[in-house]
Amino acid sequence: MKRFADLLELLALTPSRTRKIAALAQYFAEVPDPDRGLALAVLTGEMDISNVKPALLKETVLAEVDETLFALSYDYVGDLGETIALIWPHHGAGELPRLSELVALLNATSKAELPRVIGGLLTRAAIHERWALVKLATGALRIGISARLAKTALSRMSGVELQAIEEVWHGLKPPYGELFAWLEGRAGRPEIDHAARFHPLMLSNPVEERDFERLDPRDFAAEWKWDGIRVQLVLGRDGVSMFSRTGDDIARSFPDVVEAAMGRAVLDGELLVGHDFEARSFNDLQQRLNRKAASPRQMAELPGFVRVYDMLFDGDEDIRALGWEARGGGGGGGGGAGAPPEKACYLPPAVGAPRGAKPASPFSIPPPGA
Amino acid sequence: MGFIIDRELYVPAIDAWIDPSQPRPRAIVTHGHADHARAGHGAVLATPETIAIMKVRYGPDCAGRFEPLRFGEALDLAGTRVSLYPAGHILGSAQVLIEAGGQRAVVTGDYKRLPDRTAEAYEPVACDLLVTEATFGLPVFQHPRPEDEIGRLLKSVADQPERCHLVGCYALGKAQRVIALLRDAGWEKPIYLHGAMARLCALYEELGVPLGPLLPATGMPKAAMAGEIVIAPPSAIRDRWSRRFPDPVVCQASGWMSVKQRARQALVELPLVISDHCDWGELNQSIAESGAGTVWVTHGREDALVYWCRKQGLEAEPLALPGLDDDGGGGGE
Repeated sequence: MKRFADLLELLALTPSRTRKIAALAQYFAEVPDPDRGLALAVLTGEMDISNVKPALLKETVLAEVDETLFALSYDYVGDLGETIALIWPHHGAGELPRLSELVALLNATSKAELPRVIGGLLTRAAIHERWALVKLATGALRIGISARLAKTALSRMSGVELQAIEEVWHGLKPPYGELFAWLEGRAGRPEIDHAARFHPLMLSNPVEERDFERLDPRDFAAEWKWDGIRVQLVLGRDGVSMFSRTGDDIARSFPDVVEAAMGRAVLDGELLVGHDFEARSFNDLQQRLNRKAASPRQMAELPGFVRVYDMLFDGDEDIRALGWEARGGGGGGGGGAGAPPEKACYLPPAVGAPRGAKPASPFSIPPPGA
Repeated sequence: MGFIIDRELYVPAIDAWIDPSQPRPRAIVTHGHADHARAGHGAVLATPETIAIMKVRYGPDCAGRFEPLRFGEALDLAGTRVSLYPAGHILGSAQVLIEAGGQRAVVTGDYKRLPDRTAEAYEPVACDLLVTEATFGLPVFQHPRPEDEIGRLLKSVADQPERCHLVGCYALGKAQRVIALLRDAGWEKPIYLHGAMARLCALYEELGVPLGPLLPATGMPKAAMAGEIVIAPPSAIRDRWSRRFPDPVVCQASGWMSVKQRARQALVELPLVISDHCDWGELNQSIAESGAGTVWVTHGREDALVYWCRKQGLEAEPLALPGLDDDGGGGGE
């Protein structure tokens, strides 16, 4: 645990991105399984110690510290986890268990026993270890580290390309033993169920006024910018996944979309709600987002659908190397072929001139050839 | 009950102020930091070390007259006795004991209880009225052992020999203490000083605090500073001045550094929790040991300490003294 606490402190305080990546890479290279995998889960937000909530930690502390003094301290420090770490009044001998034992202990302890167990751990910990312990237990790191930075460090450590890591990432679970085995050349690339695999999205970038001088309109096509959320539909052998832009599988919240999906492919598109493919407002969509399960009433009032932008896999065939037009860009197929090339921008036939859709300015333009 | 000092730390019987923020005919000065020692008083009563520090900082004529009072000696002024006891904060720092009519009042000034060979060790003084500082008056402040913090600095130096470590320290007290801690931890190489540190380090040596080889930080070739330690004021370590050093590690030695958010805001890469003030537990201990029935709290987070005192059954109130930094940030050297 000490090693992990040291790492978190370094990540929180080192301004240099390069140095953060180097420290992460060194940690992943030197710390054995399964501790490093659990650390990776914490850093990427995949760790969930479900019983430990901030309220429980606070309760544990208030059994030992005067409530008014705690409130004044919290007011001064401004961060609950750090306040708890700094204010804990007992110091005992001993060392914290290693990360994997700690996680197992916290997961195996009943809710009723947790305050006593956490109190014991806080007493044994050095002050910066307490800080790491609280961060670990609540899952709220807030040290300015993105999951991507952790994956970049894995790439640095192993020489494996970041994109290759991101492609398998969403099919893996902590403590990522097979991932490290692959990265260290001890095993092949993990066999990820096609349906569970997320393919990092190519994101749209704003076009600045001065960019127009360097861009040839003939190299571009235009899409409507829909006011939904970007998703990737993976229609696999064993089921359908729908990933958000950050790679979270949100299929469970949209059984109506998932059930309607047919065939085998990986599709890039925009998730919207509305009847007869007429998109309603983002506010309406939001009512269905962030819900673990959709109610039948909601699905009837706000049915979900996906406007497809692009196809990445046709069946099991990776067609990303083909040009956008050859992939059937613009949705519905044939959009590219039907488009007069001399036009600067065109609307793919599948998009047509939708009612209620407003073109955003500037247009969201996929880069040529993808 | 009437007290022999008032809430502005004025002692009517002898017409003297303790640490006044503006020029007064008679001032008793606890120690040399700028929020306690100011120029322009008529007469200054202080330890010989504090007087020497004031003369170096403000010039030999910064007060009309100086009256040195050694620790343990008492000055009897028409039935009011004044004596000074070590406060352990910086060299020469004193607590002021006023005695009259069977009443004892102590003004701590700034103080700390951890061992520090650059300052005379704190002594508890029994009293009826205690005026205590509360710079770190919240239970989140639990200062670690300074030896361990210096160990972290030396480990960082050993781990990153290609970089230069810049340690931000107040020029008076903290700088000399950090240097002494480095020496005691076995760091024998020259320690490099920002210009603002040089005079006060020389004064400490004159007053019998050996600091080992010290060199000016400027004028060295950049590459030669890899693996070295530079002591500079906190304002200099993030400023243009620091660009002369190779890939500097910004460190800061201060009790505030225990709060990581503060260290991050200050762009400190290696925070060193080394404080010249009592932490919460030491403040509690000092109040209890004094036996005082009344506690006035000043300098910092008064609320929490006043609340704690009242819970112990003591009379307590915060003092709002003028001219003191109360945002808890960079002040309270």
